[in-house]
Amino acid sequence: METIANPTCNSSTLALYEPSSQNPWDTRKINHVYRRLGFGASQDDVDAALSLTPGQFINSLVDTAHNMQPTPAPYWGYYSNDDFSDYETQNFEFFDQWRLQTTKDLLEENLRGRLAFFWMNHFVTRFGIYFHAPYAFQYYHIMQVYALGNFKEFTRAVGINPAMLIFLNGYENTNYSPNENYARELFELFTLGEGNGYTQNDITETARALTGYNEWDEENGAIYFDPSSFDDGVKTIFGQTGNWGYDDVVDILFQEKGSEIAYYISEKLYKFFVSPATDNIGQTIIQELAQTLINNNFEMVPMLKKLFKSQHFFDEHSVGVVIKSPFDVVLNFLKETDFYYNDTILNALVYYTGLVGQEIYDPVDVAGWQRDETWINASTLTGRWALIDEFLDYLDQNGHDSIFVDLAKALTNNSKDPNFITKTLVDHFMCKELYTLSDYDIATDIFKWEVPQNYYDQGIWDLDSNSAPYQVMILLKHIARMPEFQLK
Amino acid sequence: MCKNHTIPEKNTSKNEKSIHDKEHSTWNRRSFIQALGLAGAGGIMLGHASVTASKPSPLSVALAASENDNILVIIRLKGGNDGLNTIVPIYDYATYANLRPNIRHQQSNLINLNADFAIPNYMGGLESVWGDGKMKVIHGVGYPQQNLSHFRSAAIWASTDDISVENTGWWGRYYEDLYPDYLVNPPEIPPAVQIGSIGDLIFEGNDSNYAFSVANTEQLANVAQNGVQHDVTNLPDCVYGDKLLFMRATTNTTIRYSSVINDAYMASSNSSSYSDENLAKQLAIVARLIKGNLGTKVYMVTLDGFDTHANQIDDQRGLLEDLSDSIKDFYDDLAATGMDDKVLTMTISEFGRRPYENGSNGTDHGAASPVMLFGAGLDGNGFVGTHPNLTEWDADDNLIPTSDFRDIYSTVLTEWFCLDPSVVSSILLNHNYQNLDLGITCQLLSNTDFSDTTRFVHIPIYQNNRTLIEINMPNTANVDIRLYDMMGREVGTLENKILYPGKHSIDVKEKIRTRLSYGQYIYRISTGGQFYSKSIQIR
Repeated sequence: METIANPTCNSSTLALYEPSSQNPWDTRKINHVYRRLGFGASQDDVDAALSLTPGQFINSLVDTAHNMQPTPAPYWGYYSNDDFSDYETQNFEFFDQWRLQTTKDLLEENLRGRLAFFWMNHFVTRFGIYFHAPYAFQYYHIMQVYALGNFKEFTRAVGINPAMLIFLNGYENTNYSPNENYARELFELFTLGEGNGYTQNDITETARALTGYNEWDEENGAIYFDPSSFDDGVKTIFGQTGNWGYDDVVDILFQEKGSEIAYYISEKLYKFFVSPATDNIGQTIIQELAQTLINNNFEMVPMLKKLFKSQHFFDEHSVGVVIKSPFDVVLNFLKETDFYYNDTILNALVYYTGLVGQEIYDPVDVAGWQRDETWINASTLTGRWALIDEFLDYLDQNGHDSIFVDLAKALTNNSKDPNFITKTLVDHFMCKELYTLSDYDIATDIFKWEVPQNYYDQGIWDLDSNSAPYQVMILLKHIARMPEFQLK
Repeated sequence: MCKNHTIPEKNTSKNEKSIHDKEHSTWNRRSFIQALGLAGAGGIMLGHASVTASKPSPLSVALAASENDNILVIIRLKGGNDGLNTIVPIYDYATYANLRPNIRHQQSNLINLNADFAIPNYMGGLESVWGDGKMKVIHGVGYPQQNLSHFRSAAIWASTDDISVENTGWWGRYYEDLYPDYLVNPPEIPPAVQIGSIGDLIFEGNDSNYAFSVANTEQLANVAQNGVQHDVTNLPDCVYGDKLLFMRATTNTTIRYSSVINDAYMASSNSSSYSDENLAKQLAIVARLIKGNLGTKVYMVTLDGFDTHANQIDDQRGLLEDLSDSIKDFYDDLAATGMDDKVLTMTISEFGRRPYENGSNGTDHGAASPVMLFGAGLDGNGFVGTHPNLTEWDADDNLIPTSDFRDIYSTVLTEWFCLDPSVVSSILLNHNYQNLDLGITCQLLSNTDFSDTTRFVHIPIYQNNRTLIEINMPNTANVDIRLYDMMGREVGTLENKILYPGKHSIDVKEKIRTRLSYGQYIYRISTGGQFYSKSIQIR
């Protein structure tokens, strides 16, 4: 599907954003940060951030993420098949548990969760292929460990992770029967980009150098190196000749192609965190980010801090240009409403995000979800609406409807004005004011529901009226159907 | 059933009348939200469901065969219209005047429709329509044990059930029978078009809402004029503009009926010049859709503001002027293409108002009030039924109805839409109502045999943790039941075997071999080449 028509209008640089009266540090900017770097902000999050400078705030988000411990391993985290008592049943159970755990992590971890999830769509593996819950855990574990770490070491670690070895056939890549799958994707998808600085020969030679990780003691147990299946001949990769092994491949790759890798990764991160449009900022913004990455030997924190603190990131042309993923739709909504949820709801929402095109641990193919406009078609769009409907209906039907009114009261200071309530609620979820102002009128007409107009005119109606929870609910359902709701 | 708890006394102070009782209302928690200003999204939209042409059910065939070209426009006077100040009972002007010394119409400000009844002189439009023989008034319409809650009473008028809480509307039930496979195979044109009254039950079926609904007139105007819900020509610059365009354009494609509505609108024009008032704008669009041969049979438009607890003289006047002018313009407009005899318009209101005024120059919630009908098919003007007794009231001090609103519905369904009595009875929840003499008579000689149209009944049942589909087989047949997720993809087959007449229960979770997540699904039954679909919840 075609993506951007226009190049970016964002002419701001990576210089530090400093608030001013024309460009203040406010709720909109904080929500922009949280929606991009995390999965949305609660009211408390926003209040806390308002009392910091942008620099302090970003530093805190990045440092907290960088220092965060990974989620503890479940007891089955390193099980091989022998360790299970009933593999079929337990494998599913454990995987479901872990999906739920991952979802909770995303809800709680802000930037660490956001980046772990980003990397899961970069160093793609698919549960449907390796199909072993402990591998899913082990894969996720290194996603968390390296999320804000050193990209070179991340690349090194992921290639010998069992999920990856199975998914991209590293496990079958032997000296007598080489398999080029991983070598190709390593260059094409993970570090350089298609056709960018590698030849078919490089792929073939690299595949030979990556052999040997073909051994496990138990089925679906740890996979380790066995020299007997390693191709120990001489290989020439990127013009370097030697008896290369796994670590050498990584070292040579980053040594010979460091600039290309830095640019490729920086551009990917930029598109994910800032804007899908990069047409006219490659030489400036992307290049500068890439240089920062190189200058820091592929440690990501300095580059991320530079980007997130910049005028470019906070420029209004960065706002509202990213189409939400299905997980964004769900998790942002949970955070920004602060509505009740439980495991049943989270499990159902994870099921629905799968239906509308984002199945966690199972991206559509090795290239990952292409995001942006590919998320949306008439079918997945109506599915997103149904997803929100489901959640709200669950709350409504299980005695939680008072929280709808609580939200409205909190945001509007218990206003009695349906126009004001509507506009406030709409603006709460949107990153910009609606472009077509009459859309607020439509939303207000919906919010007013069956209550006769004079109830509003005469001040008889308020948020304590019996119909108010229902009214807020249908307004929320309408908000979720507005085109702007899908943009962050 | 709820009754109003605090009933104002006859001689309470002037002050309290303007303070309204907090409504104790029992509106319905439905598992679907319908058409929230989002046109045409009845229930779940199956994006990729296999669109197999379905052979209609015997009942839907019978219904379709007996259809004619007649159209019904329902004007909802929202808030409870004061009937006594609309159709003034001048046969006993003295009593009328005593009941409402401050807000009564002066005799010199009335236009007599006949010796007994008059309308305010600012309703010149209706005077003209009455004079042309295109108006009838049904006196004293209501139902027993009047409920004084806006929401509950409006729900009663829509659902026709004044005893239990019924979640479907009379037109919703009709369309549910006409389109048993609606979720998968909706019709080409919207069954109904509705402006405002989002939340009204009238077009609500068990599973879907059958109206193309918009929150306000501007929304419908946008769809009618541009064929789209969201403007894709006026957008901001830069990448945000690109993304907003993309989102709006995709949202537009999900709206099922925008293009047929746009086609009908563009194929016609208004030959009346309507005012700028609320009802006028709505009827102007409806006129174009009718004249442009959209094909939709039922329209509902809404005029809000009738809850005149205070300042009734001015407030009601503005609304009735709009009503009067709009009806005149509407029927002149339809007459220009000879359609004024094909369209019957009916006013409804959740209740009338108290015979006596309150202390704020207004009136409080009442009971019986007139229903007005308009159309060249009415065979002349006239009054139907008897006016309620002006001085004998019910326990809430309200006028006692002399007609049941369901008699009017029954008459309209039988004599205007020519539906078989058994169908009418089923739409009206298996009650039989009287047919009134409204001057409309079904011209059709119906040779449709409804005796063969045994309804195939199927319904989801929820019992603790189990989800069941209960079907009632009228005869022996092979039954294939499939389950679809809400995106329209087949999840599995629940049943595929011969079933004998009688009740059968299918346990969904037991039958399906995949693990089912909590949420909405759709099941589709195929039997005898006919399809039936409903949504179902797995909990």
